[in-house]
Amino acid sequence: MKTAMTPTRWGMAVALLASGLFFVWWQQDEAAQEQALAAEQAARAAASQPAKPSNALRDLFGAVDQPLPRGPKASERGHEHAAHDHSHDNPWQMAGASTEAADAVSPQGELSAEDKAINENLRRLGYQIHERYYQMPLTQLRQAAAAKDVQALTHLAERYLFALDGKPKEPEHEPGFPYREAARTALTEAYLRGNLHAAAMISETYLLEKRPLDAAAWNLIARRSGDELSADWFLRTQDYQQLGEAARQEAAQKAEALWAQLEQSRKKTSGTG
Amino acid sequence: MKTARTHSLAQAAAALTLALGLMPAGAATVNNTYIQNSANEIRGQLGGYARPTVYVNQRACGEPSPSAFACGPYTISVGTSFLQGQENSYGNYVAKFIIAHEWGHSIQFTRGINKRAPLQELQADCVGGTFAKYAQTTLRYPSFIESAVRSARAAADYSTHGTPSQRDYYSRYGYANGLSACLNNI
Repeated sequence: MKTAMTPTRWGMAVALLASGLFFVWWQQDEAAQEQALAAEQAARAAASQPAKPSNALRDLFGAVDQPLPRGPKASERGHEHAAHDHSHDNPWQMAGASTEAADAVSPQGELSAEDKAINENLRRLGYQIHERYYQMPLTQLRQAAAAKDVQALTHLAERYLFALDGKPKEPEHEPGFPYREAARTALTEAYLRGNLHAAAMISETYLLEKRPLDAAAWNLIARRSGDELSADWFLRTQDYQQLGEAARQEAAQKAEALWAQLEQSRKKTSGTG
Repeated sequence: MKTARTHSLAQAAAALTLALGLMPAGAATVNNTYIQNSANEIRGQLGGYARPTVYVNQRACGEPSPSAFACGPYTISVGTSFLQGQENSYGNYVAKFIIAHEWGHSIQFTRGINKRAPLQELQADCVGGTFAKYAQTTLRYPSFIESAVRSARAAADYSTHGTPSQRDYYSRYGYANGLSACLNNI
């Protein structure tokens, strides 16, 4: 069936074309303004700076990998070893609508619904340790962890790993204390009590110890637990990519055994509260 | 007159961009104005420690393509496309955290701080975290520490910048404990 071009349709087509041309023109206008501002800024800076800056580059914040997309599209992956194009898939599931006070409205605006949903999902997985734990003295943190506070258990592990392990000058450092093992014990406990992200944190501890097979096994636990953000990151690491097929299979077997152990421990944990 | 015209044109263009699906709903436009305003905000908190100029889209550090660099006590170099991409991917105001992270490096240059990897980067994350808190409590922005941490985690490399968990920990450490903790305890 043929479609006739009525005057209304011609009008819509012309309007669409005009919008496109306008957009191109505006982008050029904006770019020219930016360039002029930048040139002005450079001239001002050159006049005010006492010396030429060093050419030693300090940082490239984000060139390491491609950012993960933001939209809350449900992931459909199920294979740990499949090759992924990370620029197009999304590790997030849309979560419930509840948010914490941190996401509340402020005079400068508020977070988008999408950001709030992502934050909520991360909280549910066990990311986002509350700042009060970062302010706790070690003794108090240990007490909270001993009382099975999941965030305290997780943060105690972080404190051991990042603030105390290998840092004898730290006032709270205890010579001979097995920080890494204690951290993994605390993280396992946190995992069993609901912090699913703790599995990926354990994986990272093995990665730092150059034990990629153990790291890969715990990464499989992380993926199976739904922590795809961390699980995906691990797949991009050099250590993982250098693991041969035999080692990956061994890691998968190890993960199966670990999963069974964790399931058993979880039953005990839920039995004892 | 020019300002009014630019403003209405910017609104129209933003609407068109949104309609075409190029940016997430609610995403801010990261241009020179946004970046310089952010630099002024950061200067309000950290200007007593370092006073770099933030160059936009000029590859002022000689980097191959504009992203986010600090290359001395007086120079931060960023690219609008890179920062826009970060905000689109991780959330509004993430660019501010990234510039504050680079400001942290400027403080390191100013004070001659040179730590072994990845602590140099992690200390900068810590400084970024302190700005996220300042932006929330003093400038009254909504909390963007979570988006900032996600952005930092994604750029983790476990040699130069640290692992995702390390970047998470140090950003939050700064957010919780403030600048002097970043400078004295790391």
